[in-house]
Amino acid sequence: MRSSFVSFTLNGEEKELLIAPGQRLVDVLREQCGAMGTRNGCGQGGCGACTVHVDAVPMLSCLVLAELAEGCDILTIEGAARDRTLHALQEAFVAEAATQCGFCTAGMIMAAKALLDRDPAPQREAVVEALSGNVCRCTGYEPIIAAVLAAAAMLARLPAAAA
Amino acid sequence: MSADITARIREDIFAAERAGVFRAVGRALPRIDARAHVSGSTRYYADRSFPGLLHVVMARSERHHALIGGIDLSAAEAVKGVVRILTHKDVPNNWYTILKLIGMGPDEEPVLAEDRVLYRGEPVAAVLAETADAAREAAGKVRIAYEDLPAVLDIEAAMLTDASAIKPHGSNLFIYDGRDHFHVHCGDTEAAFCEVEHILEHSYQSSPIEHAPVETTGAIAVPEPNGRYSIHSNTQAAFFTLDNAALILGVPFRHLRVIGGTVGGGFGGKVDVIVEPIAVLGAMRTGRPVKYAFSREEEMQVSSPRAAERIRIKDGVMADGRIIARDVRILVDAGAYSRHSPYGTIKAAAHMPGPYTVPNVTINAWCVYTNRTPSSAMRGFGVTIGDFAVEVQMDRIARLLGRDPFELRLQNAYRDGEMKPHRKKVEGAALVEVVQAAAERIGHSLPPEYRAMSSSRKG
Amino acid sequence: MAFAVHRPESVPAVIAALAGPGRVAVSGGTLVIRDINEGRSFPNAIVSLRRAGLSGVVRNAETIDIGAATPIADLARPELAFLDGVLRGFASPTLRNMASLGGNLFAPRPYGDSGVALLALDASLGIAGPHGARRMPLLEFYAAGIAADEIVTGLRFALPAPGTWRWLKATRRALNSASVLAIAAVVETDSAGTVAAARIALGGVDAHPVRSPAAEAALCGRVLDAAAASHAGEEAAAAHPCFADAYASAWYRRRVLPVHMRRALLGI
Repeated sequence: MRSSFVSFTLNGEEKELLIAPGQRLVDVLREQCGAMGTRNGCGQGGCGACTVHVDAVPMLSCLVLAELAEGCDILTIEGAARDRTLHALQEAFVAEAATQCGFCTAGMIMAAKALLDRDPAPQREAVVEALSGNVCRCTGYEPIIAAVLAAAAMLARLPAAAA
Repeated sequence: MSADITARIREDIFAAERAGVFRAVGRALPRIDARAHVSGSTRYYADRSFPGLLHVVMARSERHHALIGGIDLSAAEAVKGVVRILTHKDVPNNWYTILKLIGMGPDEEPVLAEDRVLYRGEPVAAVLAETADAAREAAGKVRIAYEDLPAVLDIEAAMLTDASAIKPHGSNLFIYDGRDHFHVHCGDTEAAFCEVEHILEHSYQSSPIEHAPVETTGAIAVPEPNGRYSIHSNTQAAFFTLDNAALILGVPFRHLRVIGGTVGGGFGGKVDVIVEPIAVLGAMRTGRPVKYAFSREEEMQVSSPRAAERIRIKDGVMADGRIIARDVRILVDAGAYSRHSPYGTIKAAAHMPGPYTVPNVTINAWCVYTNRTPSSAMRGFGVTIGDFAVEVQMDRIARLLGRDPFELRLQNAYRDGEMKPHRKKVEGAALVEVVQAAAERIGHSLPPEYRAMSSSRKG
Repeated sequence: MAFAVHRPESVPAVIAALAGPGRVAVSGGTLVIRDINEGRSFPNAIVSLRRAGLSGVVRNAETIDIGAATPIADLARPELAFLDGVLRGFASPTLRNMASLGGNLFAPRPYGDSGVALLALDASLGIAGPHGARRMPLLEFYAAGIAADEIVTGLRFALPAPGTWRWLKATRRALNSASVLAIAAVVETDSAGTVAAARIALGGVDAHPVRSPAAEAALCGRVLDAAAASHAGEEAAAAHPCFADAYASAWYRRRVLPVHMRRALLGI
C-alpha cells in the first residue's frame, strides 16, 4: 500500500499532501497541517471535540478518512477568525465565560457556527440540539448556550458584509 | 452575565466581618486563557511534535486476581516497529505510592505487575513502538500466563472474616495506626440512643464514577541535551508527578522537568501519576521522546474513578427536632490499591456528622480493598457521597417529624465556636445563611425566629 | 492500521472493489471507522460508497426511493416530514450529516432505530452484488442478512396514509441518546375508530429491529384507545425477549413497553 497525494482546501488555502493509507482527517489536520485546534477526544464520534466543516457541513474528523477529503473545502477553528479578528462566536465565548478547560471549545464553536450559518436567529432549543453531539465535561453548557445566542444577536447587529 | 452573577452576591451577609469591598467575588473577570481556547491556539500536551516519537501501549491484566506464571514477549517483539518492551524488571524502584511524600504508605502498588495482578486492566508490560498501531498490535500479543485466584468484588464480602485476603498483609482493610478502620467519636452515643424519641436508620450506596475528561490522560517524555528529561503532561499535579516519577526512576528531582498546567478536563482524574514514570523510563531506555496516552477505553476502565461507598447512618432524634446522636458506618471501596483512598476515607470520617452540631457522635470508616479498578481522587472525594447520605437523612427526619426541612436544618446547623467530633472548633460557618438565602430565592417563607438565626451565635 | 481506501464512482465499480478478503463497504463511517479507531476491526481495504451515486431521494407515484448512502440529515424534506421525529432522535446533528440510512441497518443494538421506522413502513431493499441486482424485504434482511460481497443500494417504501404514522423513541436523555425502546407503527382505523390494519415495529426488544405480530394481533379489530394500546404493549412485552445494556435492564424495557406503546399509539 502506497501513500497518495490528496488535495483539499484548508481554511481557504490550497493543500496538497502525501497521505499514508487509512489516515484520519483529524490526524492529518493536526500532524501534517499543524491545525492543532481540532482536538482528538474519543475517536468514537461521541464527544464532538474534533468537529470541522467539510464543504460547509459539520463533521467529526476522527471518523473521516483523509483520502475522502479529496477536493473538499475544510474549515477548522483556525479558519473561524478572519484577518486576526475573532468571529462573533469566539468573542461571545470569551465574554460569556463559556470556556473552562477549553478542550471542547473548538468543536463547540464549529458546531455552533454551522447552526448560525444556516439559522442566524436560532431559538434556544435549536442551539441545544445543534450542540447535542458536543460534550463539555466541565459542565459549562449554560454559558455555552448563552454565548451562541449572544453571538447570534451580535451578528444581527453587524452589516452583512462583516458577518 | 456579569450583572446576573453580581445580583446573586449578598454583600449584606457577614458585612460586619468583612474589611473592605469585594474586588473579584461576584465580578465576571475574563479568563486569561479564554482567547487562546476560542481561537484553538491553546497548546495541550499532545499538541507538540517531536521527531522520532515513540508510542507506548500497555499490555494489561485480563484477570481480576491471578498469579503470573510467566510473560512471553516473543510474539510482541516480532511485530514490525516494536523498539522495546518494559516489564517490572526495568523499573528502578517498582513501587507506586502516591502519598509517600506525606508519609502515607505502605508500598503496595507495583508500577508494573510482578508476580500477581489484583485487577483487570492492571499494567503488566509497556510496549514502545514507532507507531501507536504497532504498539497496540504488539501489546495484544504479549502472552501472560495466569493462575487464577479467587476475586473479591464486593466491599462487604471483602470484610467477611472468611473472605480471601487479596493484600500481602493478610487483610482486605487498610490499617490506620494498628487499627483496621478509622474511628472518631464524641459524647456517649449508646447512652444517647436510650434517651431519644426516635431512631432513624438508613443505608446509602454509590457506584464508582468515572471523570471522563474529553482529553484522555497522557504525557510525552523527552530526553534533553543536558541529560535531563522534560515531561509534557496533562497532570493536575505537577509536583506530585515530579516527586513520584523521580522516586520510581531513582533519579534526583532536578533531573526531571514537568511542563503542564493545561489540562483538558481533570476533575481529580489526572492527579494519580500513572503515565509519566513509564514515559520517562521509555525515554531513558531508548534515548527517544516517548508518548503514553490512554485510549478512551483505558480512560474508562483503568483510570481511577471516585470510590464506591456504602454508608449507614443511625440517628437519635428528639421530638423537638434536635439530633442528639448520630452513628455513621462508612465503607470506601479502594479497589485493588490504595492511591488516595486511605486519605479519602479519613476525609469521609472527619466530614461527619455533616454541617450539623450533634453532641454524641460515633464514626467508623473502613478503607476496603477489592479486586476492582483502584479508586482515587474526584471532586471532593470522601465528602460528596457522605453529604448525599446526610442530606437525604435530614429530609427523612423532617418527614418523620412532620417538620419543614429548612427549619430542621437551621435548628441543627453548626455555629461558630462549636466543637466538631474531631475536636476542631467551627469557624466561618455559613450554613444558616445559605439555607436562609436558598429559602428566600425559592419563595419559601420562614418564621421570624428562623429568619433571625445566625451562624455567628447560637439560637 | 494501514488500509487502502477505494472511491469507486459506480455500483459495478463498488462491487468490483469489494472482491477480495477483508474489504468493507463504508458510507458515513460512523460505525466502521469507529471500530477501526477502537482496534476492533482490521480491514485490508475500505470501499467508500460516497461517490457511487447512491445518495438521494426520489419520489415515485406510489413510493419513495432513498439511496442507501443518503445522509440522515438529507431526509429532512417536505415529502418525508412524517419522519421528523425519527431524524431528530437520531444521534446528534453532526452525526446525522455523516451517518447514512443504509448504513444504519447495520448498526448493532441499541442503535439502528431508523430500521424500526423502515420495518413499520414495510420497506424493501435494493441489493447489488457480483451476480446482479435484486430486491429484498427488510424483514428478510434482518433475518438473513446479505453476502459480504453485496451492498444495500437503496430503500423503498410507500408513504403512509395521512394520520396513520406513529413514532416514539424512549431515551435516557432528551437528545443524542441511544434508545431504551423505539416504537414505529402504521395504524389504519375505520370510521368507528376500530383498527383495521396495523404494522408495529420495535427496537430494544431483540437483537435487531423486529415487527411485533403479537402487538399487531392484539390491536386489530379493537377500538384504538388507551386500554387497547396498553394491551398491545403487554402482549409485545410477553412475546419479545428484550435485552439489558448500559441504557436499561431487560426487566425495565419489558416493564415500560406498555406505557410507551400507549404513548406511541395515542400520544398520551
